[in-house]
Amino acid sequence: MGFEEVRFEQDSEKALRNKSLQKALVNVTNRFRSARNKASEEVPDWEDLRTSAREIKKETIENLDKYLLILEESVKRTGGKVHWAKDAEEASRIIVGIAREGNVKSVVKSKSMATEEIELNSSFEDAGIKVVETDLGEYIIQLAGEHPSHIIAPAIPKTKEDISKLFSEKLGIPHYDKPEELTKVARERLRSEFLNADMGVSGANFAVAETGTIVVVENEGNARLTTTVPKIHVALVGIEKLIPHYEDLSLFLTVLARSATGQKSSTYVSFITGPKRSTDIDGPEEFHLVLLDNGRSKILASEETRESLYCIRCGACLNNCPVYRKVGGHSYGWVYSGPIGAIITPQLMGIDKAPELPFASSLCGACHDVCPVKIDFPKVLLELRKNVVESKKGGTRVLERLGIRLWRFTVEHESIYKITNKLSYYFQLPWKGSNGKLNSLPYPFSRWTDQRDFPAVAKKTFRETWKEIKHEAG
Amino acid sequence: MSKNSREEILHTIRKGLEGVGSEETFEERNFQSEAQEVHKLIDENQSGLITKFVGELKNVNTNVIEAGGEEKAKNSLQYLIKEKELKSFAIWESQFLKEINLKQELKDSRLKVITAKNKNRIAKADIGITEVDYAIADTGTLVLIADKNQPRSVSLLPPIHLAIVRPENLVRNINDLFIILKSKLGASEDITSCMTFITGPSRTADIELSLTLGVHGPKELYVVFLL
Amino acid sequence: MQLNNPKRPLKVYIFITCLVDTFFPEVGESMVKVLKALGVEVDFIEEQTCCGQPAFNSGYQDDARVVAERFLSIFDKTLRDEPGKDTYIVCPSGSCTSMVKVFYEDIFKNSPELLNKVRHISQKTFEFSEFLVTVLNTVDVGAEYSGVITYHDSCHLLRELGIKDGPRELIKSVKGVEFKEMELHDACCGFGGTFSIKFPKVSVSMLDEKIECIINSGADTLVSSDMGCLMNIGGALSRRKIPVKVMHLAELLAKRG
Repeated sequence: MGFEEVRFEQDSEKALRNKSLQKALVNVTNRFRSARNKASEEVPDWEDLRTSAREIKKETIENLDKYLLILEESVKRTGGKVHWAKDAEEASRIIVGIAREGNVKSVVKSKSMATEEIELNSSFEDAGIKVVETDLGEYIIQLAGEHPSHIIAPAIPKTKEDISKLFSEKLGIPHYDKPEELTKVARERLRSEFLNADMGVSGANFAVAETGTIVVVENEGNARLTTTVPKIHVALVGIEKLIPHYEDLSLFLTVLARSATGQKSSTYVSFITGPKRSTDIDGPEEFHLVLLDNGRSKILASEETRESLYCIRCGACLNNCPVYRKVGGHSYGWVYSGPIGAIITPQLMGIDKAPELPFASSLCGACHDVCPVKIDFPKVLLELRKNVVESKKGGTRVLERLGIRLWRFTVEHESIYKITNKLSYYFQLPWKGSNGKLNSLPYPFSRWTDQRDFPAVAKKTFRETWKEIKHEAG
Repeated sequence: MSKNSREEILHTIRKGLEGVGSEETFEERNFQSEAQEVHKLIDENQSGLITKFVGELKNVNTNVIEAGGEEKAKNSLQYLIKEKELKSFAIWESQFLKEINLKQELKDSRLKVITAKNKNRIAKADIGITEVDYAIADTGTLVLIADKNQPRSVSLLPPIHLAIVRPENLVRNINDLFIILKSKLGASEDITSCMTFITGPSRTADIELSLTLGVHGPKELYVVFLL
Repeated sequence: MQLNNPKRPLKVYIFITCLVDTFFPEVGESMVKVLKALGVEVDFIEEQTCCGQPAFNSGYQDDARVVAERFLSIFDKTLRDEPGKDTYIVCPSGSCTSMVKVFYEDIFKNSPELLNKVRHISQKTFEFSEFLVTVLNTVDVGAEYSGVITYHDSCHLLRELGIKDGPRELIKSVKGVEFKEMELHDACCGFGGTFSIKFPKVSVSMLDEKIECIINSGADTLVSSDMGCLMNIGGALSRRKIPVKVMHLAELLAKRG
């Protein structure tokens, strides 16, 4: 499950051959897409909300150091502890350290992309501490030993037969048919885990600087259990999750659920500020906020791509992406997939680990249309493409660079351009089919003609015809 | 180690933001006066809000019992207890529930009361009964604020959660709620360790997108709306 | 909506795009025919070649910039020399038009002098359907065509330029046309320039979905405003011998009974 390198072309081709994945992807994305459309249409000033949400994120990110310090102060004031982790390894070390100090034998976890990012579970396992995923989709994925396939619905590709088989193999129970029965099994198993766990680890959708409040949004109730029952609560939160003021939550919660699943509100939203108060009857005794950098501060430095940090992890871009719809989450090679994965994976992991990703898009912009914080994905992708080209001075891009040089030379000189067109008309003849189009072409254009005809260069280009028609009346 | 990382992270951020214009663009808001406005608008619209709220509750699989008065409310609770053969309950010791003496009456009906202090025991309670601090009409959301009389687990661990809601709990939308909460924070009320929004019973669609209720949180949610 | 001042004559310079020039000259010819029939003076600057988009989209922004500068100088110079007329640059491609109107701002953001040229040119630059509808205030150009038409919204046209209703109005005004909206009419067809060659299997799977929608719509003719999309969709239709005609909007509008 460790990350090595993104292999988009390879993995996407595998995904395209997987019939049940294809079916599941269509179902999930159609469902979420139409739900989101309906939910956003119900809100009369939806576009204004998106604009405001973007503005708040922009202001926060552009003053991130200031707001982080305010957040730290607020968390401390309310009895919590703040830890700063510059990378994945340090974050895991801190969290395992908290567990060791608290004599923790078992941990329950609610869904958190950030904890997947740092591969926290394997650090716990290495330290001999039991860790259980409690989000049903994540629980299924954990049993299967895989990465999640979608931000909101991690187990999309799995049919109920897959899950039934998985449960009976790993949990030693009979085969169950219905989702209700499978869910009941998970509820019972996990309930005892919750009650016996010494520590709960969660992520957070938002962290409010002003009050030190972290906000966790969910439908199942496992995040509430994770953050209420065990005596220690650790929240791992990316530094970009900050918002400045308590009342900003009104706006963000309104756009989050509607963008993610089309619900007006997710079932549960927990607003957690520090550990239990001395007069509270229940709740954790310790609250730890672990702030995660892991490359986010580097993204900050780039003006063109800084808005990648505005993301509130709703998944709307995935559901609207015509590429994601076909290739699914695993093709993106890491925990973040779809358009947001395409822009942050290369930035967090390094462009040399994921050079395909910025190109794994037709730049259609459907993601931009639905992003609640209006991230301009095509713009960021174009910037990342530039970075990829610049980073590979030699090596595999030699042919492409040569091609671009030739193209440039041709279009900079009209006479060369005209000659090239004329010559192409004659040179293409061997590949011209009976339908007047080119039925095959040499590599790399064979990648087109394998499945599609390519147009033929016209005998008379427009500029040649122009000479004849320019004096014609209308 | 974490201390050095703190400095490192802040340093990287500051360096990355060099030259970025950072004017404060937020307007100063007077939440006290905004809250007064909001309360006025809520009062003016109350009957419409009630209708909206009840409609939204039903949209999210919440069972609604509209009770015209305390007696009717208690009767419907008794009916529920008989129908579902409930034997034990956990309850908030909050102001309104104390006023109507609900805990004692349920004990008198031979139900076992279970304290929230012991997590294993409260998990075995048949029902958890709370009131609400606020109720959001727009989305059918119950707002519960944890404090010494209002433990979190009562609305979380038992398989059934029953909340008593009164018209004065209602706000129109989430915007109203945060204005009111912010006005109280401004008046230096200590913020709660945990505020929870509850919109319907626990649910998932993780298995083939089919909706299943009652994953980890309560399977059933009842709202007794005291008209 | 801009109304042309009847006192100042209109002159259009064709921004032909390398794709149309080289592979689909009939689209350019149709455009000229339609504009002339509406009383517009049409001209063509012969030095033009490409706007730079292929390099820009592939990450070769330095190369794109050089080519874009050339494009700018050619058009800027010519249009500045026409003080007595309302001049426009009209282009049969949503993606090339958005290159000039949207992306040139980014490319030249640090060069104030060039940015001036960009702004001068981009306010005069229109995609063909946009020009007809918003500048000439025309949706009925007197065309005739017998067929069931469905329309594919090309991505840049729809999302960068916000053009959606105009082309549909123009199509519906053609005598003899029955218009059928297809499902997923605004979903990407899988072209994306070099994307179609870098990830051909993904591209074709998106194309498959588009073709299914076209067939399900019952249309016998597909119309769009971008030859990139049309060569992609058309290339698959001809390979699979599916008898749906593929036509640029300009070609449709040039048809006479």
